[in-house]
Amino acid sequence: MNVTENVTEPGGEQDRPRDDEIQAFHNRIRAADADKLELVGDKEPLSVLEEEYKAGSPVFLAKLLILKQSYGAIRRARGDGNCFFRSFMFSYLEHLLVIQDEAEVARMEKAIEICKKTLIDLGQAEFTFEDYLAIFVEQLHGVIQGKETSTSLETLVERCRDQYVSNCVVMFFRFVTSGEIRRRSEFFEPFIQGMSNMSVVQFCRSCVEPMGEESDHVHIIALSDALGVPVRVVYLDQSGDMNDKPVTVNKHDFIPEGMNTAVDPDVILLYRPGHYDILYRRGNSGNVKHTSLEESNVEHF
Amino acid sequence: MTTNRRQESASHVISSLSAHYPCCNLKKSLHRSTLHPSRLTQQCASMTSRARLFKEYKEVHREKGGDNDIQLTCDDTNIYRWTAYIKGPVDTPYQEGVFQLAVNVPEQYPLVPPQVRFVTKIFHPNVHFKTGEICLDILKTAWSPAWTLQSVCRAVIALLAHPEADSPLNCDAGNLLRSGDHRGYRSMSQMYTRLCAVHSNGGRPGSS
Repeated sequence: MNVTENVTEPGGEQDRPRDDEIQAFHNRIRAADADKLELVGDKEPLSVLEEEYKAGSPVFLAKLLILKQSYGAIRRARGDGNCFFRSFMFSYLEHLLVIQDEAEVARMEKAIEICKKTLIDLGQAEFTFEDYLAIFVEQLHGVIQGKETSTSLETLVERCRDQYVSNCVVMFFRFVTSGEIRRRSEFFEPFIQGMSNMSVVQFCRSCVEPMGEESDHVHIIALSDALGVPVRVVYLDQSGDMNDKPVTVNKHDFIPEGMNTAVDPDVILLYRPGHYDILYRRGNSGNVKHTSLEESNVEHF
Repeated sequence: MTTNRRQESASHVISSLSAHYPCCNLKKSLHRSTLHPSRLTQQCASMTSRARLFKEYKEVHREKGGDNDIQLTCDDTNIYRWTAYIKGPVDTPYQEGVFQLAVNVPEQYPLVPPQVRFVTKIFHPNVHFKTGEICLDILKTAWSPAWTLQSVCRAVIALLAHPEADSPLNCDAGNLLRSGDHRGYRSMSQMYTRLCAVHSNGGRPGSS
């Protein structure tokens, strides 16, 4: 190779778009998608999924029938890679607002303090996450009614749709998840190694902390454990065969360490390959109090 | 003199921050959602980025002297523009050099990454030879608010020590490494370090 010939202009092509231009283009595509669906959608009857899969696989349709026996409604989250965290945020806060569980708010505050300590112990500068933490705490306090700062269900929906508030809470969850994974790295290491070739720290850097990185079992376990919130994931996928045995819908309950495993999670997510949405129990089979309170909330505000 | 001016500009930032962005007002507008969502979002973004940059500014000054390899300074009049001088890591062809980086912080920071580029010319597979653009995942898709301007500079120093020849912005540098011509890569990068990064800009880190 004749190096001297290149000395004046090593580096090559000039005409390629710069990375920030590519990123800007990518952002514009996302913005166009954003117009089609809110960060958190409206509550819709489960029958909308039947419509969606009308021409689709019979396995899906069979599973939907089973799903309808236990669950009545769905609320979509935008497919921007943050859907697990966003669904978790809305589902958790909405449930608290509906049942007015002040004890849970107090418990969560303690859990947040521990998460904060974990992050600081790991060497994370507090100023990098304190704003996100504060915004989540603000939403948490808002769900308890009867104060000047209280939020109605309507406002909660609005907040979770507001890019700033919503993304800040997602970011806080990402910090918490990363902190929990790194705090218990020995526990999480085998899971992470099974999925990628990354070290625990690398995994947190590239798959947990950046916005838009999709979530997997590892994220759900870590967030659920760190915040002490049980999560149910119901899987609507192609697994199973119509001709084989009866089709079953798989579900998995993520129960935080030390909690009674018989607990019934209130955060229920519907997983379809690559995406999470919020799922609601059927009004009549679930806690009737929820529905009546929810209605009264809507009327009241 | 410079330090005095810095301090003045810092207090100026505080007062203008609290004048323009009193926290309580922001909280109220958040609660009552009086503003149009997109305007609210915009205002919040600008407020958080300023507040966050100011915290970073204080942190950089608190830790002054703690990190000898990085000198990070904020523009006197614009908190969104920073300059960094980084020392080339030892045992690399860059080790005698001091490299200037221009850091441009967007309003949505820290939800989006700062734009960082080399002002000092450098021969490295992941730095564009002409524009100084840096190919580093954390400055693009793998960005997270967990990073700070200071830790970004540390990542850039790490990149100097660990070039990624497989995704080159400077193909010549990349090709030398990929073809196993480490000696060629070393002598080219060393030559540019000596030509452009030694003494020419006053060797900032440690000098003030």
